[in-house]
Amino acid sequence: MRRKVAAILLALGLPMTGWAQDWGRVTGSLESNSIYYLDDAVVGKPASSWGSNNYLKLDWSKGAFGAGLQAEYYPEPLAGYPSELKGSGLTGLYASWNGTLAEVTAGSFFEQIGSGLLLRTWEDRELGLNNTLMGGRIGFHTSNRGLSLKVFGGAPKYGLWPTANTVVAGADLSLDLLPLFGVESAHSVVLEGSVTDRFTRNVEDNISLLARSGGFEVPGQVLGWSGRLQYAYGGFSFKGEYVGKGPDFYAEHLPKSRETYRLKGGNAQILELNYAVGSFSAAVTLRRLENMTSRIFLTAQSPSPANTLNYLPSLCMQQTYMLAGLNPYVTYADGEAGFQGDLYYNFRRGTALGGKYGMKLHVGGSWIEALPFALPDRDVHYLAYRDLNIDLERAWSRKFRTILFVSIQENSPTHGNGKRTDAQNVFVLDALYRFSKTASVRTELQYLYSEELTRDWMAALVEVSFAPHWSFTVSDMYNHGSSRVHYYNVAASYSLGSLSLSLQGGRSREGMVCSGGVCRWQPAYKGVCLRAQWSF
Amino acid sequence: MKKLVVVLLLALWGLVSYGQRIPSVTLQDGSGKAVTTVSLVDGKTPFVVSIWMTTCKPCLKELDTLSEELPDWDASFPLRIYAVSMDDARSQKRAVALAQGRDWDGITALFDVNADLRRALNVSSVPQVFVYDKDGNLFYTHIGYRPGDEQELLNQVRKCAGK
Repeated sequence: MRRKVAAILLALGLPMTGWAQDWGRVTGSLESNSIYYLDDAVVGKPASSWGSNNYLKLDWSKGAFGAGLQAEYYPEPLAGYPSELKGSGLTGLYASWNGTLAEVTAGSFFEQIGSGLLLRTWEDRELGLNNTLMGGRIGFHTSNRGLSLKVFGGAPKYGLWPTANTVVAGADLSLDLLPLFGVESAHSVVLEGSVTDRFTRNVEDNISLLARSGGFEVPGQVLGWSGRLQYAYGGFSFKGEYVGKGPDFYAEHLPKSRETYRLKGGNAQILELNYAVGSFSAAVTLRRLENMTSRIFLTAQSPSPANTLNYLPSLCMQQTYMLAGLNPYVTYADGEAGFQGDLYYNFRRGTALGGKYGMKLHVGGSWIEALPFALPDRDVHYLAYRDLNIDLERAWSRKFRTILFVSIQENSPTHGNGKRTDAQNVFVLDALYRFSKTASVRTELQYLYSEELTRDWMAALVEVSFAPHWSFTVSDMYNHGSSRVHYYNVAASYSLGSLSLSLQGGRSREGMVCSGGVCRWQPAYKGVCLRAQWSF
Repeated sequence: MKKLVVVLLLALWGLVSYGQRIPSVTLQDGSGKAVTTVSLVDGKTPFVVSIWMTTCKPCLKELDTLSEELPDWDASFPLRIYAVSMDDARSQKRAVALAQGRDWDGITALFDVNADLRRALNVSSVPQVFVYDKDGNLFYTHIGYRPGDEQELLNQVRKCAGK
C-alpha cells in the first residue's frame, strides 16, 4: 500500500513541482480562532456558547501577473466582533499585473493616502475590520520614482461583502523632486497631493428624516483632498500634511446628551519631526483634527468599528502591558488637538551607565485636548488625555535582563467637557532569565494605583519558554481595589516553521480591545481558546 | 476517497513548499525613499527579513539579541538582516526613531507602511523571520520569538549559505 501511495505521490508530485515552475507560484495562509465560552458566576457568559473566526488566503503569481482570493467563515463570530460578520463570504478576489513602470489591479485591493486621515482601507483581524475596496486601480511611476501617480475606485467591503450603496474614487500624485529633476543629493524633498470622492446612495430613511429636521439633504457625494510635504536630510526628517473634507452628515452633540444633525466640513493637520544622532533619537507628532469621521455608510446608531473609511488612531502610546492598557484613550474625531513625543537613548556597552551589557531608555508622552466648539458645552473645556511613559531596559549579564516601566495616565471620560479626570499610575517590572541557550523564564510584576474608576489592581505573569518550539504562560490580574475579581489565564503555544498553535484558557475582563490605536468593545467572558495559524 | 484526498493534499504541499520567493514589494527606508524587496537579492549571500512592530516586545527582544550576536558572527560572509516594520503611517516615524535609538548595529530598518509585504508574505502575527537564499528563494521561516530562537535562525543562515 505504501508503495502505491509513494508511486502516486511521485507521479503527482514531480509534475506538480514542474507545474510550479511553469505555471507560477502559490502561497497562502490559514488562520482559525475559536473560543468555547464557559459559565461564570462573576463575569457571566456571552449570548452564544462558542465563537469561531476563520480565514483562508491564497495568492498565485507568475512573473508580473498575480491573482488571489480570501475567504472568511464565521459560523458564530467571537464575542465582541461585529455581528454583521456571521456566515461566510469571499472577502477578497483580485487579478493584477505589476510591470516595471506601471501596475493594474482589478478586484479587491487595499489603499492608503498619506497617513490615512483622508482614506485608509485595511484589514485588522483583532478588530474584525476589513474595508477593502472592490474595483480597480491603475498606477504609474517613472523609472527613478521621481513621479508616481495612481487612480482608483471601488466599493468598500462591510461585513462579508462589498457594499452596494457606496463607491469611493480617488487619485494620488507623489513627486520626489530631486530625482525627478535629475539632481543627486543627500537631501530628500517629496511633494504629494491627493483627492477622493465618496458617493453614497439609498441612505437609511431615518438619516434622511434626521437631515431634513436639520434643514438639509444628505449629500450624495463628499469630496476630500490632501497635500503633503516631506523633507529629510541625514538624521533629520520633517513631514507635514493638510487634509480637507467636504460637507458631510454629522450628529452635533448638545448639552444634556441631546443631539442635532448638521452638514459640516472637516479638516486635519499633522506635523511630524524626527531627529537622530548616534545613540539618541527623538520623534514628535502634532495633530489637530475637526469633523474627520468618514464612514462607509451613514448611520445615526453607534457605529461598528468596521464602518470606517479613514484612520484616526489615538495620538498616544499603544500600551502592551496588561494593566497599562486597561483604560485606553479613544480619538475624539469631532475635534481634538494634541501632541505625542518620544525620546530614545542607548547607553552603549562599556559606558558608565551602560555597564558591561548596555542599557536602553525610552521616555514618551502625549497631551490631547478637545476643541471647545466640538464639545456639547462650548464654553467648558478641560484636559482630554495626557500620559507619561518611561521604560528602562538593562542587561545585567548574558543571562539576566530587566525592564522597569512606569506609566502615568490621566483620561477624561467626557473628552474634556468636564473637570473630572481618571488618573492611574502603572508600575511594571519585567525580568528575563535564561537557564541555557534554549530555556528561559520571564516574569512580569505589575501594579496599578488609582483613586478613581476600579481603583487598585495588581498583576503577575510567568512565561517559561523552550526555544524554538514551546512556551507556557500563567497570568493573573486582580482588582483588589474594588471588585476583588481575578482575571486568570493559562496558555501553551507551539511553533514549527510557519505553523503556530496556541491553547489558552481563563477569564477576560470587559473593555476596549485596541489595535493600531483603533478600538472595539470586548465583553467579559471565561472560556477556552484555540488558535492556529499557518502560512505557506 | 480519503486516501485520494490525503494524496492530493500531500502533492499540493509538494507544489507549494518549493514555490516561495521573496515577493516584489516596494518598502521605504528611514528617510522615506523607496526600496524594492527584489533589490535585497544580491546573488551572492543569503539574507534575513525580520517582521516587527513598535508594540511587539518579542520583536524588539529578537532584534536586540541579533544585534548583540552580530559582533560574534564568523566573517566568512556578511550577515544581512533587514528589520521590516509593519507599523502603519502614523507609527512609522516612531518606528524610525525606535530603530535608531536602539542602536541595531548591522541591521537595516525598512518600513512597510501600506502592509503590502505583510499581505504578500501572509504574515498573521509578529515577529516572523524569513531566511532567503542568495537568489531570493525562501529557505526557512519561523513565527514568534523565544529566547534562544536566534541560535536556530543563525544556524539556518549558515546552512543556507552551505557553511
